[in-house]
Amino acid sequence: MLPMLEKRRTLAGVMSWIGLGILVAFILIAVLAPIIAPYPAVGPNSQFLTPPNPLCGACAPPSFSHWMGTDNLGQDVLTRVLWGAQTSLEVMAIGVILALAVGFPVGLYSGYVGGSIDKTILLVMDSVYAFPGLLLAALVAAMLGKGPFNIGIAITVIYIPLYYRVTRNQTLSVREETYVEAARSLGARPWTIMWLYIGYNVLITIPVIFALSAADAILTAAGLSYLGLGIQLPTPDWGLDLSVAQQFLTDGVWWTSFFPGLMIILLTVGLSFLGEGLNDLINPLLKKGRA
Amino acid sequence: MGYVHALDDISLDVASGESIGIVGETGSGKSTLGKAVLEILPPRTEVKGSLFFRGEELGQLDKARIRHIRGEEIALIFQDPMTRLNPLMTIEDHFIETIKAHQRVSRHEALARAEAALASMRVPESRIGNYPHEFSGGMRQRIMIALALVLNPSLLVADEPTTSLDVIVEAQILEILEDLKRTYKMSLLLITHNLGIVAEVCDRVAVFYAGKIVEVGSVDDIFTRPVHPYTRLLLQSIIHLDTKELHSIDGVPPDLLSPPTGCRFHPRCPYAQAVCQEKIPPLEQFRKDQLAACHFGKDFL
Repeated sequence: MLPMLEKRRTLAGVMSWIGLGILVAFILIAVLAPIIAPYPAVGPNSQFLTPPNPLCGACAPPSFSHWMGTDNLGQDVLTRVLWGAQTSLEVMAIGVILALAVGFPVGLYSGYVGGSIDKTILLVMDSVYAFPGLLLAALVAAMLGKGPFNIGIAITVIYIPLYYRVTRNQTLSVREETYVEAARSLGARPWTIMWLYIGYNVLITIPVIFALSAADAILTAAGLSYLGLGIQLPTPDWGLDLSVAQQFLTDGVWWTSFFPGLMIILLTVGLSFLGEGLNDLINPLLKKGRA
Repeated sequence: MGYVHALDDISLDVASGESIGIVGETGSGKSTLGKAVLEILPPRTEVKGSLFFRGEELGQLDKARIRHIRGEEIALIFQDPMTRLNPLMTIEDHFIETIKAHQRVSRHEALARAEAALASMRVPESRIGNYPHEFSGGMRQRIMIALALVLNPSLLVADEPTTSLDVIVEAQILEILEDLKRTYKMSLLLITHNLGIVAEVCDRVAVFYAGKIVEVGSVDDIFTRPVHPYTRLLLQSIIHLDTKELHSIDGVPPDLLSPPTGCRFHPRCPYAQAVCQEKIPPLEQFRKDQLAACHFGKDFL
């Protein structure tokens, strides 16, 4: 996927590179958080440094020692934001990878066999898809309990129908390709035809939707945490920190909500750029490949 | 809409080592016949009748057995080589997949056979690791043929194997097919609208019109003493070096959703009489091994 980005200095290529850069930066932040974070993630870091604020406990505006200020518990916002990347990426990765791992094979099978099996699966998936995403995730999260892994699964449930739909529709078109008929005429096994001849050719359209759904998953995860259904305190999490910070926002304490929010926006935009950029790059390539 | 009877009342036999040509206009059901032989017609296609291959009735066999017959005993070469190979698989992968789908052999042995098959098609074996898009159309068709022949099938169905190729490649491929016929006693069902190829390669020929066989016989008989008016007009339309004027058959092939009554060729036939509109002519024998479906066949002898 990546070598072809180099050759194309188009808007799509630039977008993909920016998106990829942002994603890699966030992955680095998440991995290096234990090393680069200036303070411990949990627990007050500032109460001995600044006098308590009557409005919001131990919070303090951005300063030289706390670049992004501290929150009501006196925790360094920069540290929380850096550690929060870990939680967000973890939830996103679990959610999106599981959704792909389920949605892709089911979509492939459904599209390949067709008939009443296909119609039944399609009906089930469409009813799940029609359900509002955040509500569904909230429902599943409430059932499973808190913690990054459970939230990941809750998010998976929303995105399985998405991956299923994309895979199935693509399978329906690849199934009619003449090389599939040729493989059949040579006596290829159904399993081989499904995975090697169809699946492989469907898979190349997945990175686009992978990036786009990852962006969406970050927002959903933040939303769940914000609603108190996701990650539990004191685990650093952007959505959760936003939700705590919200009550002090009216008193002019902007920094505790601004920075986690900025992170959510940055990562989401980065992933969207990557997805849209890849979409523009892959589509013409696909068309060229078919011609 | 409705049902299209792409083929109607077709009966053919192919002896071992024999090659039979299927000729006819576009839409006369030639390719459908080829796909029917391998049972790879699209879903919701209804096939009636029976097809015997070495004493086994293909329609009665289970799917696993049919799958084994495909490729290993009956192989098919398609007319459009450009899109018949998986763009994401190398040529090597295509061969290994095909061989391993039928026989338990080591990768090493499969590779050796693939290289031999490619060499016999004059494709350099050094290119076995390349992807389909790295080959020209003629090369891809040779690769497809090598792929179809790597398991030494006893019947090869070739559906316009040279249509999209230039004449030099065409000549090479026909030569290769004749070699194979001689060496392996392979039977060949050659579907084409190129009568020149049929004359060169085939022993017998069946002329298709609108999903029906109108005439069948030896290449000699059909080309020199055709009985059916359609065959005659078809032969007249061949272009020779000394052709001064182009002959064509007036009209267009009929819509198979509602084929003409009686003889399907009657709307275009210069000799058509009232009976041709009413009665379907049966396939009758006019000479030894030469059958035609025409009410007035005797008059054309």
